[in-house]
Amino acid sequence: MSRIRIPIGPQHPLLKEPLSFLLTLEGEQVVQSDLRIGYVHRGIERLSQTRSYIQNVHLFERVCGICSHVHTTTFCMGVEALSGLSVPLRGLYLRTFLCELERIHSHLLWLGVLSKNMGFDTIFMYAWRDREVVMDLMEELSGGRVSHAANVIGGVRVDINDAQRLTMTQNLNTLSKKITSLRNIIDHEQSFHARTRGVGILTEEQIRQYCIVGPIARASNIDVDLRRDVPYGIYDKLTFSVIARSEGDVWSRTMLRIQETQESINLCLQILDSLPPGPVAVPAKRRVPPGEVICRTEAPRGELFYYIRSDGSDHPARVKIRTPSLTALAILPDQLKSINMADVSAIVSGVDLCIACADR
Amino acid sequence: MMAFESVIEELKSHFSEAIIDVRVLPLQETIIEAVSGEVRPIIAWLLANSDFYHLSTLTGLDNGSQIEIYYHFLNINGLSLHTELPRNHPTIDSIADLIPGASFYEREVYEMLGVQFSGSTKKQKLLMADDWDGVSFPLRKNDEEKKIQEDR
Repeated sequence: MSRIRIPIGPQHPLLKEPLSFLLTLEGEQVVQSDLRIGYVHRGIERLSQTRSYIQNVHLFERVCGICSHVHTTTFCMGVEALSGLSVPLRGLYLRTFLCELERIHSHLLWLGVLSKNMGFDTIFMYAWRDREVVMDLMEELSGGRVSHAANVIGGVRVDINDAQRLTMTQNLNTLSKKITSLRNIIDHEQSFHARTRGVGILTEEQIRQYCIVGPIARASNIDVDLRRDVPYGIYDKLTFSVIARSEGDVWSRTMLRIQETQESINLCLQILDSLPPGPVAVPAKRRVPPGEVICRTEAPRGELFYYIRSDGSDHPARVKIRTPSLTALAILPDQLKSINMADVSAIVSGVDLCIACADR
Repeated sequence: MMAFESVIEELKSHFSEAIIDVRVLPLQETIIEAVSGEVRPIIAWLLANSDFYHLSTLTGLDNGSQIEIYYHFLNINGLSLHTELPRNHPTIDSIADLIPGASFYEREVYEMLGVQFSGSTKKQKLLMADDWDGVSFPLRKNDEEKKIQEDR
C-alpha cells in the first residue's frame, strides 16, 4: 500500500504549544512517527547563570505557564537547603496549599483540552468553568492567576486571614461537588468510553524503560508519588492516598487525574483546617554558600527535578531542570505507532504535554 | 531487592578501582564519583542487581577546565553518578540501549555541551534551531565568561 506522510505542527489546532510530528500512514494506520521539539526553547538554564538567585526565582516561574509555582518551590527548596535556612511552618503550609491548588487547576485544564480535542465540547466547557473556582482562589491568595510570585527564598510573601480561610473552604467544598458530577457525566458517556478505553496503552515495562513519571506512570500500575515516597514540605503531616490504576490507557489516565483532583481538594481543606500561626518567611542572604543540591518535587505531571550548583556568589553556577513532560515526550513516537489515525488526538492529549516545560 | 546502604557497599566492592569517592549532598542525595570509562558498566550493574531503574535525567556542566556529567537515579533514595571528561573531545559510552529513556537526555547534553555519546543511534536535533551550526554549544564557557566568573 502506498504511504502518505502527514505533518502535524509546529502550528496545529490539536496542539496548544508548538511541537511537530511527522506521521507516516498506510491507509488509516499510522506506521511511523517522528518527533521534533525545541520551538519554544528559551535557553532558561543558560540565562539563569547570568541572574542572581532572587531574579532566578522569577525566571523559573516562567518555565511553565501552568505549573509555575512548583518550579519556584523546587528551586527555593534547593537554595534554602544550600543556605541552611528553615522555612517557618506557616510558610510551608501556604506554599504547599498553592502547589495543590495548582494541581487541581492543571488537571482540570488538561481534562478540558482532552475533551475539546476529542470533540466533546460539553466537558470542555464544564471543566474550564469549574477551573475558574480554583483560579479565583489562586488570585485571592497571590494576586495572580498564572504567575503567582508567591515564593521567595526563605518562605512565601503571601498570607491569608481567617475570613479568607472561611470563604476558601466553602469554595473548595463547592468545587468538590462539581468534580463529582463531572466524573459522573464522563462515567455515563458511552462515546467517551469508546474513544479512550484501550487507546494509547503503555505497559509497566515501557514506563520503566522510558523512566516515565507522574499520573501516566501511576495509570500503568507504577505506584510512585514523591509526596509520599520522599516527603518534602509538609506532606508528611497530611493524610492522602496515592491513586494507582492498572489499565494504562487514556481512560485510566482520565479517571486517575479526576481522582487526584479530589485528593488535592482534600489536601487543601486539611491545610486550611490546620494552618498554624506565625511568620511566613525568614530573611535570606543574597550570596549562597558553595555547594550543590538535587531537588525533586511532585509537580502536577510528575517528578520535577532541579540540580543547583553554587560557587559562593549571588549567581548560580549551574541550574539543570528536568520537567516531567520531557519523559512523556520520549515515548510518544512509540505510542503513535500501529494505531488508527483517529486515535492520535486522544493519545497526544492524553499524556498531558507541556512543551514550554520540556523545551525550557 | 537490596537496601540502599548495601547497594552502595556492593558497588564499592565490585568497582573498587572505578569509584573515586562517595559523598552525600543536602536533602539526602548520594553522589558516587566514578572514572568515565566505568560509568556504563556501573549502570549495567545497577540495572541488573538493584531497584535503581529510574533515571531522572543527565546533567552536563562546563566548570571551565572540564566537562562534568551526572547520571541521576531515583528509587526512594537519590543516587547520582558523577564523572569528568576533558574539554577537548569529551566522549563517553552511550547508555541509551540499556535505558531507552536516556536517549533524549544524551541528545540534550550533546547539543548543550558537545559531549559525544559513542554508540548512540539517534542524532537528529532535539532542542537547537534548524539553522544551528552544530559547533557552538550554548552551555560551554568561553574565555570572557570564565573571566567574569573569576571576578565574582
